[in-house]
Order: sequence, then structure tokens, then C-alpha cells
Amino acid sequence: MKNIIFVLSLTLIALCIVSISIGKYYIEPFTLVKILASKMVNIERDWADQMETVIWNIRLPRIIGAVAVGAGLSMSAAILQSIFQNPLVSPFILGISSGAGFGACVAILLGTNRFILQILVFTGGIIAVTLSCLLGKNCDKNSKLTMVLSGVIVGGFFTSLISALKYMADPYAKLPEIVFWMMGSLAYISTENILWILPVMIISMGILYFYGWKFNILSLGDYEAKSLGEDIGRLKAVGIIFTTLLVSAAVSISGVIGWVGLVVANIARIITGPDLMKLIPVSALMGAIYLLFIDDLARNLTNVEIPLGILTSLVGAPVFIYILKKND
Amino acid sequence: MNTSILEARELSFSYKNKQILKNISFKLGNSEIFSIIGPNGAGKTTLLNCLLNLAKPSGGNIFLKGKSVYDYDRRKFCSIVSFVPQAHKPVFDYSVEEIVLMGKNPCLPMFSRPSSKDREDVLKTLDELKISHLKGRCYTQISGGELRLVLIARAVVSASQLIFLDEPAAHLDIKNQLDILELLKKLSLERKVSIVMVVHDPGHALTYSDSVMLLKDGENIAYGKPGETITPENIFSAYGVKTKIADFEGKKVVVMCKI
Repeated sequence: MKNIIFVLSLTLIALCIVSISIGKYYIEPFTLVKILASKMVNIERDWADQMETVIWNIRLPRIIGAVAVGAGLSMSAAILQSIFQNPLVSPFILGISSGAGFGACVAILLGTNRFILQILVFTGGIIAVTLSCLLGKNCDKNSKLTMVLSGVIVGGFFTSLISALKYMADPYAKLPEIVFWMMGSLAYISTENILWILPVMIISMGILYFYGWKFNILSLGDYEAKSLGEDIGRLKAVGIIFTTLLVSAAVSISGVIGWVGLVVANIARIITGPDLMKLIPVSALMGAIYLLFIDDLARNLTNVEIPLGILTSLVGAPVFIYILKKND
Repeated sequence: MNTSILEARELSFSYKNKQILKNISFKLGNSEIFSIIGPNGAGKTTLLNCLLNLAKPSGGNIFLKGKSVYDYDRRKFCSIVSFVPQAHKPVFDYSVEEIVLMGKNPCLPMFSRPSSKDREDVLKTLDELKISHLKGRCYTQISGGELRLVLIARAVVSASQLIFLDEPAAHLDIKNQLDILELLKKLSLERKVSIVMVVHDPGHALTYSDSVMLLKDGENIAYGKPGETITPENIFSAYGVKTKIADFEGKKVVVMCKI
């Protein structure tokens, strides 16, 4: 177990360094290390100022963003899957991402500040997940697909609301921003955004990790969890609120990126088993690596940047089919 | 003065205007085995759920160690009482060790996780129940009999004084049935655990319990010592099946005849 985390951490660090180097403006790894080190020790500056700007203002925020968003979406998915006893759910499937995206669109249309935007995004996410839970609860509890279907309905509902907003939005000033947001991208992450959102994400991750073992109990089902002395209503609420907070924080910097959590959480579970004490850190690390890698593809594969959501769906959809078959 | 660990007084339960349990009363002493038996749909599982405080009765009260179960908080209640469900199809493939460790949950407040002592406890219990060889196995891939043992181990790990079992012998071959029932007997004798179990085989109730209740349509039609409860008359009035109780080498056995 320790070995897995060690290997994944090393991979992540190596990938971060590679990701900072590559791009339209190539920076040699050796120069890169010197530039990074120059912040701490005195090194003679033999590089262009431009390089420093690229690293500190463009690449580093984006890479930190990719790591945080990937880790957040993946561990949220792993936790939600345990809470709902269903390996087919994820923040995206449950409609949290669409709800949060709708909140973001409202904020864009209103032209609010960051703080209000964050609140609207979170509210959208919470409303969506609550609706999915209520819908899923009133239908056949034994079917794993019921929950998925409820999420799809709620997601569809919010997507149509977003379309309505698009229809009303100013086609020159607001519409492009909304469209880009809904496709998911890490291109607009700034240092300011990161500093604003990172504390929220780290605190949510910490709280979720500390509750990890308790969420294991929920994964046995309501009846058994109750007979093991658990206050399931409260514990579920804690899990759902903090995963939604984590996801909405991710959505507020990256837009709606689907098919990350679902894929990564299921693959991580194959490696670690279902115990969340292992699954949370491993899925977070794998999610960070995965999204960072996909983002590298998005910005280096062609001359123009490919929206991230397109790539993640291309990989995610087949994996979802595989999981569906496996669980049958 | 009150030596009973569990007592039910005039327990009733209704669901959608239909009365499922009517005035059920009984008393269970320390390290005793109490069997609930009766035809399908007699309300056995409902009674179990009421006793476990998972369903709210419409009338009557239940006392655990002399105190009403509704005055316990859930965690405290579950550190005294534990439950062995009928095997279900689990979603996630936890290892046997992880599943048994979850029995420690009632003793662990929010934010905490099992200590290494808890883990040692689990290994000891697995050893005691002679299933340590299973500890690394996936609990979705072991046999029905092994799964039942694992769930009993989880109940024992909860450090419970009272264990409820829903049909502990269901879906098991005869050897496994006997193994499980002998194990329960041993737990009650050696660990002073009291046991409440729903059973289907009158023979099991007769051989392995200290007291038996026969339920039919939510009513207690016979309650008392096994020998007095499991009689051909009582069984006939509950099931409409003719039986004989025979003496076989000093042991009483139930022989089923034709209807």
C-alpha cells in the first residue's frame, strides 16, 4: 500500500515537471529546475524573463489546478460510490456537476464577484444532488441503475436550464464564456483563482478523508449501517455536503469536466479494494495524474487547444460500459 | 434485582392499518438462547426489527438491561446489541478482515478509525472462530457457511452482550447448520452472550434454546421452555403440520409426518 502511494506520488511529481516544460513555449527541464530553485536559493539568472512569466503565471497555476480538480473529482466519486453503494455514480452522473455548472452560468450572466459565484455554484450542486437522491429514493431501491437514471434526469433538467440561459445570454460578451465553461477547460485558471479555491478544496478533502472509515460503514447499506450503530442520516449528509463543496470548488475553476471521477475511482478500487482509507488517497493521486495527463494532451496534441471535457468523455464512455458489464 | 438483559412488554406493531404483532411479551436472562419460530409471514422478522430498534412499535416497550431501548443512543445501544443479518449480496468486495473490523464501529466516535488494538481483537476473534485462514479473502467470494461465520465474528467483535440472528441456519448444508448452532451455544456458555434468533427448524429450537416463542399471525401462541413450547399440538396449530416428538438416545427430536 505504501509502495503504491510512493510510486504514484513520484509519477505525479515527474509528470508535473514534464507538464511545466512542454507547451507552445518549450522550457528545458534543466532550466526549469533552476528557475524553480531560484525562488529559494540564489542562482545566477541566465534565462529569459519571459520563461519565468510563463512558468509562474500560466503553467504552474494551470498544473496545480489540474492536480486539484483531478484529485477532487476522483475522491468525491469514490466516496459517493460508497455512500450510495453504487459503483456507477459520480459527481457528474448524479447531476452535481450540471447543477454547479448552472450556478456558474447564472453567476456569469449576472456578472457577480468570485465569492457570490462560488456560493451559486455550490447551491446549484446541492440542489441537484438533493433532487437526485429524492428521485432515486422513491423508486426501486434495489436497482443500481435507478440512481443513475435519477441523476441523468436531474442532469438533463439543469442542462436545459443552462441552454435557456445560453439563449438569453449576450452572444458577444457572455455566451462564449458560458459555452467554454460547459465544455470544461483549465485554460482560464489564474493564480488568483487558485489561491481562492485551493483552501476550500484542501479543507473539504481533509474532512472527507477523516470520515473515510465511517463512509465504509455506509457502503454496507442502510440496514446494516444502522445495526452497526451508525447515525446514517447525519453521516450521509456530511459526505454529500463536503463532496459537493469539493466538486463545486473544482467546477468553479475548471467548468464541467465529466467522466473523470467515475473512471478513476473504479480503476483505483481495482488496485486498493473498497476500503476508503486506502481508496481515497490512491484515487486522489490517480485522478491528479489522469487529469494532468489529459490536460497535457488537450494543449499539446494540436495547434489549437481541445476542450478537456471532449477528451475525458472519449475515454470515459467506454470505461463506463466496461464497469456496467462487470457489475451485471 | 432485575437480571434480565432483554424484556419486551405488550409489544404491538401495525403497518398500514394491519396489525402485524399483537401484545408480545417475553423476558430473556443472561447467556440464554431465545428462539423465535413460526410460519412465514408470522411477524418474526418484524419482531426482530422492533427489538433492534430499527422499526418503531405502535405499542408496548422494550427494556435492555432494565432501561427502555428508546432511552439509549444508537451507538451505546449497538455496543451492547449486535445483529447478524441473513447473508445479502454485497456491492463492494471488502476482505473478511475489513468486514469483521467494521464490528468495532459502535465503539468509535465520529472522525475516528480503528486502532491497532482493534485490529488485533479482530484477528483474535477470527482465530477463536477458527476462520483466520479467511482473513485476506474477499467476502464476496466465500461460501455461504463461511459468510455466516464471518458475520457472527463481526457481531462478536462488537463486544456485544446480546446478539440477534435472523435465520442463522438458512441456506446452509446440514454440517454448516450444526457448526453454526454449536458455535452459538459455545458463545453463550463461554462468553456469556445472550442470543435471540429467528429459526425455521423446530428441531433447532428444541435442541439449542433455553426458551422459545411460537408466533402465528403476529400472536404469541406458545412461549416457554423448549420442551413445553415445541409440542405436536402447538406445531399443528401454527403450521397445520402433524409431528411427533420422539426420544432418540436421550435427545428429543421432531419427526415430521404428513399433513
